[in-house]
Amino acid sequence: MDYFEKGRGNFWYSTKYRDLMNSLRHMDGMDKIEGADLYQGIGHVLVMAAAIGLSKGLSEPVDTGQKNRNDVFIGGWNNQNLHGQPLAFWAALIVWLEKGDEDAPILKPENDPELCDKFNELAMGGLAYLRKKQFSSGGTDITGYTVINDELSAAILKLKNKK
Amino acid sequence: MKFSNIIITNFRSYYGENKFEFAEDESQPVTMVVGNNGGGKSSLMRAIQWCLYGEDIKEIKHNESKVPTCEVAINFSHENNLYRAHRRITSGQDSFLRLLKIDKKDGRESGEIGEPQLTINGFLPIELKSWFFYEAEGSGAASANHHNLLDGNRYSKDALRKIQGFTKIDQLIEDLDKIHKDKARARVKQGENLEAQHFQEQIDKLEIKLEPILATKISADDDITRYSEKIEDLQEKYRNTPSTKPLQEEMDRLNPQINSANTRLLLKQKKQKSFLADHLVIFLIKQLITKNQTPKQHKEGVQLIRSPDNTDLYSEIKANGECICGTTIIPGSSEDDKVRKFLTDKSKDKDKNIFNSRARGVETVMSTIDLQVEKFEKERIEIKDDIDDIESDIKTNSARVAQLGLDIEKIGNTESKIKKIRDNINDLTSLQTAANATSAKASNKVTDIRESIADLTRQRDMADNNRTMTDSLTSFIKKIGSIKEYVEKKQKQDEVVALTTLMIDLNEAVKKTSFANIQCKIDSDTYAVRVFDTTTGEEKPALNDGDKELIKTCLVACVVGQASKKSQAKNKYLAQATSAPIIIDAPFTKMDVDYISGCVSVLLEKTEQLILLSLPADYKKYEDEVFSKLGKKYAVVRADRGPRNTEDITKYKLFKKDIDLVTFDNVDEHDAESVTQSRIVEVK
Repeated sequence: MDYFEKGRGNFWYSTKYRDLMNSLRHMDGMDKIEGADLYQGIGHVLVMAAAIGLSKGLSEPVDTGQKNRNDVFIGGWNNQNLHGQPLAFWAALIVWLEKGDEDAPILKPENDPELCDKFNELAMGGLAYLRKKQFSSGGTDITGYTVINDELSAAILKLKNKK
Repeated sequence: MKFSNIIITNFRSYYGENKFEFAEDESQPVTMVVGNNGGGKSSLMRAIQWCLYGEDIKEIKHNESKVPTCEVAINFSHENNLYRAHRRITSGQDSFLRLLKIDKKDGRESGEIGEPQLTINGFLPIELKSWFFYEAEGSGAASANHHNLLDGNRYSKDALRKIQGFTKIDQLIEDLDKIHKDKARARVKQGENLEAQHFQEQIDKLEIKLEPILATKISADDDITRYSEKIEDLQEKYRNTPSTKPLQEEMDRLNPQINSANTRLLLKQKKQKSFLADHLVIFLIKQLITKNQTPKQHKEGVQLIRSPDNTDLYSEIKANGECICGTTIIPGSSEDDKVRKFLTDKSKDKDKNIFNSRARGVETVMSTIDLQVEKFEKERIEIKDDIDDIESDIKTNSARVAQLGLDIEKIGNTESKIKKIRDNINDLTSLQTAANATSAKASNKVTDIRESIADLTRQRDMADNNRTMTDSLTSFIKKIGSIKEYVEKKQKQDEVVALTTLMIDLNEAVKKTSFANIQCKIDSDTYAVRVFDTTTGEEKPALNDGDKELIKTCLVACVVGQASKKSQAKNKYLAQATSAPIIIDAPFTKMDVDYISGCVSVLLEKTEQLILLSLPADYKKYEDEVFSKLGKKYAVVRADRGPRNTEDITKYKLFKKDIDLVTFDNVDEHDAESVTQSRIVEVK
């Protein structure tokens, strides 16, 4: 069973983040080694970016008619996994958490266009944040990995403090 | 031979006249000379050797350009007589030795010996000097004959027999044999017995034939010993020449390992980054989930919105031909089609199923997040440990490769040197094999000829026996024969006793040094010392330098001890042994500290006069053992022109006093270029 169907909504990212998406995925600044990408696929990067957007409360309004965008193959969201679970569920979780509605109408298939749009908004918000941080490193963080690492450390610390 | 005193003038580092006495007292027979490296200890030993033998020593004179002559005089006693050996060298001339006899009563010169070098060689043959003047450190010329001492060879055997005086008896036997033969020949000639004369002529021919063959054999045996020594020297050189080959091989083995580890490290580091990046999502989301949060609708949905499955109901209606509302259902009719579609079409529940599936998926992701958060630290540490291990391997191997590089650079290209040594060993081995064959061939010939001579001698004597045996010549021949027979027999017995005694002495000496688990056996043919492990009974294949020094020192002490007056009186050999002081330069440097005191006590027990030239640190190791036996105590003080830098002068506690081994008081107003000097200072 597919969790998202083509036609009900689209996952995509703005072409202005293409270089950031690529460098984050492949760590282009380092020697390439087969099977050693930072993220397995573009979908994974978008999930991470959306998680950042969600946690920081950042989103970038989406113009659905925007031409300068790269669609991310919708089938991949059903087949590609992160920690053993389809990306589709991660996207659903992120958007559902953003909505904060226990009844979770956003998970209903008829609301898929809204779910996709919301996800894309959060992901673009996350990417905008990463880019900003990357720029503020003064060119030392070519791959964007330092930002990722800093965010992870901060998140771990925050979780510890929460406990 | 016992030394009384020595006067050294302008010899090497000794400037001006330096006179000092040797300990002669039986209860305190040790002369102890302590000095730093380069202080002048070895020069003292060289001075004694140069005086007695005039060997070619580099830079004999102190400050060659300034002093015209250099001389060394030694006063000594030998066989109850007093002598003074005095050697002097003047620029541009050969050294000149005088040997003077000294009057016991007034100490004045009472005459000059005509053949001084020959006489001194008679007292202490030059080939034996390394047994008495012993460079334990092994760097000097005197030690050259000693480094293979334990391996045994003809020279070692000859030297040992010579020290014990057996070679003099060999000469006596040879002389008696010659007299016996000459007289027998004269008797045959006198008797005019044609048959006997015929045999004698044949004997004489064989004797003439024997001479060159014997010479060939002796020469071949000399060659064998010479080659053997050279091979041993080269083998030691081969062992000691560092080769770059194993270093290069190790480097070649390590470099790919480092490269492979670097690749693994890079991969592991990327995996680490990927691992951390993937977990960013986990930690970001985890902090946003409140406790027990789940999509509520999902739970209700699971219970309320079931996927309808009315296939059984449709089958029942179809079988009854009537719907529950009373409508007749004819198979294939439009009613039948409507009912079938209504009861079995699930398309209308598809979205509900997708919703349920998503809600269930979201819940699963949340439990996955909990699980990953729990596992994160453990996995992170595992990855970090792996990286640390790889980095540590790389660091270790890289450091080793760097060291190997430095070693290879330092050693340089030694492979050609090693090849040359190996080629030389092969060449010498071939020559030795050829010499062995020549010797064996000559030996067989000698045996054959000697058997023939013995046979002919018997036949000659039988032919000659017809004559009256009462003449004085016959009587003389018989007497000489008897004496020769006795001396030969006694010599053989003495040699067996001497070798056995030496072996017992050596094992006792070695045992005294706490080196309890070994036993030494001396081969009667080669005089090689073989060392056995007493616990296993097996021969020890290789000894370390310390053990070698220990056994060598014990052997030298035992050999010299056997030659001492005390032992001579006890053993009553026909031969008279060579007795001389034993001088050891830099003793016990390689020896294990636990064995030194035992070794010192062996030396004290076996020698009549002992002169030790020691480094301060080495002397401290055995001071307690030797102190009560010190008849004379000296410090070799190096006198420099002036302090050239601010280095601290080490003060030494020697002979229970504070002593400086360096002074800065040799500034000579007339000699603007005065150089380092040595002075022997007596410590009382």
